[in-house]
Amino acid sequence: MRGRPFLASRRSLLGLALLAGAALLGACRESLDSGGVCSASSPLCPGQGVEIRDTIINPVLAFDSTYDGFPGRGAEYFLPLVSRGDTLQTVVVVRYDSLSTFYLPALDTARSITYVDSARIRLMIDLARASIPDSVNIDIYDVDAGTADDTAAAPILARLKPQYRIGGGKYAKAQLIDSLYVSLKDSAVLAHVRDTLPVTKGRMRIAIRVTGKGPVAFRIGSVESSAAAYLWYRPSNDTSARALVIAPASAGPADRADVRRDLMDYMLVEKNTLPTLPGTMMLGGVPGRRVYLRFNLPKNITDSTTIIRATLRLTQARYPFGDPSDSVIIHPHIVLASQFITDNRRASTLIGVTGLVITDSLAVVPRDSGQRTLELYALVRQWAAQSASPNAPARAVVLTAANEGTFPRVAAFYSSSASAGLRPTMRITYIPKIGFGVP
Amino acid sequence: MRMTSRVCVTVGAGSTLLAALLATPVSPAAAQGSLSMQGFGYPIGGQSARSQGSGSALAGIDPQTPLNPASIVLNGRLQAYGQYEPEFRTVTIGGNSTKTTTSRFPLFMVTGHQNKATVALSFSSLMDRTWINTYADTQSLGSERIASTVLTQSVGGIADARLAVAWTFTEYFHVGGAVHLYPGDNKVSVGRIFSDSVHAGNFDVTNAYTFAGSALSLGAVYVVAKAHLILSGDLRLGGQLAMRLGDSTKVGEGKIPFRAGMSASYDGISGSVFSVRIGTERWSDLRGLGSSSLGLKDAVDMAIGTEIAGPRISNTPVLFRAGYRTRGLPFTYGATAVTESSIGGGIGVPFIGGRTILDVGASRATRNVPGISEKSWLVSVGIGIRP
Repeated sequence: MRGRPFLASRRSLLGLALLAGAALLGACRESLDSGGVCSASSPLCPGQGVEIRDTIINPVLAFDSTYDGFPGRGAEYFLPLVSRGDTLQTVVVVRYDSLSTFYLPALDTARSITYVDSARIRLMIDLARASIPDSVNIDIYDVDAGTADDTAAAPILARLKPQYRIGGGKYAKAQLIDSLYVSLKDSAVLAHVRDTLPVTKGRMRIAIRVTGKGPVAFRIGSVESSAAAYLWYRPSNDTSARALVIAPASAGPADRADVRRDLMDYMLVEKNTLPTLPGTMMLGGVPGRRVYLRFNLPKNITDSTTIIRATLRLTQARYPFGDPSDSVIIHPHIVLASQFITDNRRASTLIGVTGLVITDSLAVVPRDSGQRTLELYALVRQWAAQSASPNAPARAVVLTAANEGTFPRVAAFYSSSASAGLRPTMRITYIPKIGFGVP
Repeated sequence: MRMTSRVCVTVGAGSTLLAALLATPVSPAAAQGSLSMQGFGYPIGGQSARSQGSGSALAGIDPQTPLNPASIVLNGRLQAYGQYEPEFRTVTIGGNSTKTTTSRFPLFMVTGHQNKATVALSFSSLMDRTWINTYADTQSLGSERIASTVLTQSVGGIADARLAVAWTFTEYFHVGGAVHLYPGDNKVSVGRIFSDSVHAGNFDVTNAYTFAGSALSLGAVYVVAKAHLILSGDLRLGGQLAMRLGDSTKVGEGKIPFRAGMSASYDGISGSVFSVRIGTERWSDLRGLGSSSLGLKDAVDMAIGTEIAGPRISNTPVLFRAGYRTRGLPFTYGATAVTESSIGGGIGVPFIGGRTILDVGASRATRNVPGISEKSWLVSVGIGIRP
């Protein structure tokens, strides 16, 4: 047999080509990371050559403002029932402006209601962070002053008197679980059902008020949280007739559907004598306060460097009132309002949700004092990224208390008008734009 | 996969950046993670697969190696050549080893004849500075020390674009000259990742540098027919090499290193060539391009190798190559010079009656300094086509 040189055969050439192809394909997949031999002490990787600078901006605020009344009337997800003796008292107002005046007996036609039995309201109770003594008095008042559009608080508060009390009772702490039925006077409900006056026909408006031996604070559900206080009554002594369940509703004002919705149920502060601390920004409490902070940061740092940290440093002032030993959770929010919105109270409502851009939060105890910090680097980076935008948001942050407007706890921080050692400052850690990377 | 030899367009830096740079001293980045990637990177040197297989001993007379402009006359006809060259590197320090794979396309060349003139346009890689390092480290922020993961990356290098012209005076004497341009780019990124709990912003900053330089090179090939000797010599006269941040701010300026080399090859045994080569490269000419602390070392390059004809395919011999090379690398490790030794081998297989040649070369390179060992396989696959 006549042999051919090994490399001259087609088969051997094909094998060689396959080997070369396999090697090439294997090498196409790059693996460049040699960090396995790097460490802080490794002489091969002694450092990055990046300079990190640190500076404190003081003062960091152009101004600060505290606004109260949050959340707005009727916007509460949970309605606070608070009683702290001489210092703080709230009531919850619920409107039932669509009372049923007829009922349907079984297998019969509709009949006018002439009898009411077992009238009561159902409260959905939220016990989170509640403070409840051994027993609680819950009083229900008829606060319908008979006016057409009584959006003012004074006429309602004026009716929180014994003669207008139409229900309630004393409840042990153990009875306050997730829901509670509070009895009403059947005659009072019947009077509203049978009311024929043009203004007050078919409506009932109540105020719920709590008191107790010691501070009381808990929340009940609202229309906003789909856990509103429903009115319940039997329209007949015929036990086969179904009980009527009336949801909160507001008939006025006629020209404002949004306000009507707000007025279905809402909270009113009957009394609040908790002091304010001058020279401070106060957060939380009832009604809720929030703080608007407008920053004044040097653009040569924020816009031309890489921010690693931007720590807002606040000095907490001791506030020994309310629930001084309970904690207040504080959330910073980005302001979505543009810099052209000059109404800062309005701007303080145009904010991002909790956790948007800023993920840090604070938990403080009102009676404590000292420096507290909030990390805002992501926001400062965002401001830098937006600096060229003609409609950039204001360089501002709004601080709110968790469960805003539902607990009496207040946190106070020294404002920008305080002395240099107490006012808010910001510590910024950044990498300047330098020529790193040159061997 | 990267192409190390390329011209890149970069975006200019603004005036603010310029001011910041002028006001702030330049600081080095030194997280290369290997001996060969110190400084401006690994000097690939544009060796063809044929030259690589012979330990670079044939570089002075190899028409596909853009070293000696006179050697292009040995190509015969119009030829296009391209090369792929992955490197498989293992670095060991203190018992820890890490393996990397780097893909490169270090050489493209087109050559043509017209009477006694030969012209070649080539594009090769002078230096490759491509590496990535990821490792855990502690970062000081003020008085706080926090855990982080470091991410460093450098991508790019300096290319060598050469237009060479050679003239054949006689069958035995050829002279060549070439103009070189050295474009390049290098993106260096530094970043750190912090855990969420430390409330610090991750960062990743990148600086993009560009290079621009020029040089002239001269070479000659002289065949001593009676003695079966081929003598070659080449030198490169470097011009300025500037490094800029983006395309505006000059951050350094040096010179393309002066280089000189000579080789002698013996082809007295039929079908074989034995060659020795010695060269020098004055890397200290780069002084000024980098930081003042950059360690530069002038290097000597010595090689010995052979190419032997084997069996024939379509009357064209298959070529087997082997060689040894030792050279200094341009950038020191601290104050210690880094030397590279390599043993290479390869094969050249003709196809289509010799119109196409597949050159495959492999060399095992070793770079050592006390305490650190670096070994790599450089595999070169080149294809030359003669229409």
